[in-house]
Amino acid sequence: MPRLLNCLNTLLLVLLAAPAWAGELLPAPEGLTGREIARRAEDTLRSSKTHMRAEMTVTSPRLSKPRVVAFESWDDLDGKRSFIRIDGPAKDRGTSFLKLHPNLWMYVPRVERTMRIPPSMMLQSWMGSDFTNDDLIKESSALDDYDHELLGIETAPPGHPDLNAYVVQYVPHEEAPVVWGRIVAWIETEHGTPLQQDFYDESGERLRTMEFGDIRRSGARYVPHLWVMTPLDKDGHETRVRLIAIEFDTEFDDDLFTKRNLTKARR
Amino acid sequence: MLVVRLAWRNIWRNTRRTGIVITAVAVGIAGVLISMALNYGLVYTMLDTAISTDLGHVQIHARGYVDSPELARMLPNDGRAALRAVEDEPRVAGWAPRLRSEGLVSSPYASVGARLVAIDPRREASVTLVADSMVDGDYFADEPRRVVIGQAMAKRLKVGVGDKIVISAQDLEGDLAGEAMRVGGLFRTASRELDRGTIFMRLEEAQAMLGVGVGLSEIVIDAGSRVEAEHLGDALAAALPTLDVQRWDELQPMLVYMLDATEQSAVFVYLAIFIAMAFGIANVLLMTVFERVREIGILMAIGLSRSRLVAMVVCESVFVTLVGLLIGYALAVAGWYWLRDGIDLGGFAEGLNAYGMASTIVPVLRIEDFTVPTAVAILTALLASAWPASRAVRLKPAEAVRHR
Repeated sequence: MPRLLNCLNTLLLVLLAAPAWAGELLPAPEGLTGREIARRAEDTLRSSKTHMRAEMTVTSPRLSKPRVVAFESWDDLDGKRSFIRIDGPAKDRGTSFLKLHPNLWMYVPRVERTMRIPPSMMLQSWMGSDFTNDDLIKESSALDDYDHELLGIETAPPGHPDLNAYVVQYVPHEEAPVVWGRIVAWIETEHGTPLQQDFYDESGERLRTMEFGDIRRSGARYVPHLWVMTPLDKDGHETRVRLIAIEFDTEFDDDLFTKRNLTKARR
Repeated sequence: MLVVRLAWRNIWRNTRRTGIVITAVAVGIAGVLISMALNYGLVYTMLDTAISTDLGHVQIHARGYVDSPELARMLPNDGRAALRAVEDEPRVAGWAPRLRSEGLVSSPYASVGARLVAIDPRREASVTLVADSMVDGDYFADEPRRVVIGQAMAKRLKVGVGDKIVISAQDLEGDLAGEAMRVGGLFRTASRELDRGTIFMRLEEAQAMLGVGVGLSEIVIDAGSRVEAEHLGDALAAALPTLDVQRWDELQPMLVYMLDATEQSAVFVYLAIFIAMAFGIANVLLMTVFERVREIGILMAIGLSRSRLVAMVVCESVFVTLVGLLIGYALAVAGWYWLRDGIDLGGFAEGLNAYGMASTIVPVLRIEDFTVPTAVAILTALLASAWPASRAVRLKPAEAVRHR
């Protein structure tokens, strides 16, 4: 009998030691750091000047049918500014957002009013989605606010059976303004495409997950054109962003990022 | 003196009838006094709760801060003049500096708007009760970057002691500042507003986060009592002409309004009770007059003057009222003594906390609660005796002695 108990013990230990994700991890090559991989993933999704058109579909138990929001955005990374214009649905058309570091302004054509979104509204839902206003203006802190630990390589990660991914764990610095306990990210080995990000609280419960799909080539980048955000603590909620067009390293007119431009509902 | 003795004897000739009137007066007065004492107890408890949880007796701000509480409206010169005036004032029982701002507190599960109140933990404890209202964790133990939040807010954020939260607020430059802190402790006070929406931080940490140097928004002062607060407020206002020095009643006019409303409702309750009492007394006296027609006729026949007859009836009325009043006062004081430890409204506490009330109500009896009813009761007794007295003097002795 002691032998059986021993076996059980060992099994228990293995189970406890197993990471939260089920797949087997291969060791990552020497000399590669988690931070480097995290940077590659960042660089895949953003450039110094990025222009995109996208369609966001919000599903929620409160909505009888999914809400579809079409928008166009211009992001000037170095200038820490960006501009977003809502093109649909018709009732929100012309609603615009201007981020001028560190503020976020919103223009609502229906009431012809420009308002600065106060800090107290920063974590409210953006256009009814599972994204917050804060998600719009947050500067890339994915590199500076976290320690990155490369956990290994997963072959055929969930949702991408023909790819390999580095699994990187982001642990926020104690003083970083991050609510998460940690983030686990799957980043494609060859091109640095982000495949999935899981957000955990400090007790280790997974609270939300962001899945990336429909990877298409855009210049040197392999860009996911479908982003799906699922809050796991809210049943039936999901936000999908489908990129229609994306341009990296373009040029923008400086006039774009002015409050005057907010009120110009260009249709 | 004769009529006084006569009147005193008369009222005890029919003890049952007199007893009924006295009981009515006594119970009425005692009921009014006790219910008013509870009302005042409720209002005073509310005042003291507001003052001791957050408000303090006197607050000092920069000009105009109360009307538009912006971070930039700090006390001029890092509050040096105000601090000196407060330290020089011997009537100050305790004082604490604060920095206030509005911000957002988020956990992985939720985020709520909050009032950031940055305090010097040791000093704050000398003015307000938050340190004594902890239900979990510590009130600013040694570790840095700990905050103290209300139990209700913790519930909304789904966090407990030791969990991380992120506080964001606009700093002095207008930039959005964010800091991660850990929950050091949870408090629970009688004020739902405080429990749901206020986060206490260490003063130095908030000053660094908001980029205000050693700036302060307010100084909150404990004057020892509400009465002292008046003098202290005036003295500090005189010493600091360029600042806004405000007492609790100026900062929270709503509380004063509640006190006024209680006082006004008291007037109506007294009025109703005394009108009822007047009819009761008049009715009984009238009965005694009708019952004693023959006796009164004989008194008049043997030479009792009409004015003395009136005096006798009035005295009877006043005696009955006074005896009832005294017994009523005795009952009220006994009731007040019996309830001196307060009535525990534990079962309703949740609802009352919404109005900033504590769950225990201690009745409050004041001197004026006795003097005013006494005066009004005697007046009522005089008025109530007018009618029976007028009936008595109109009797004709010759007819009255033959009345049966």
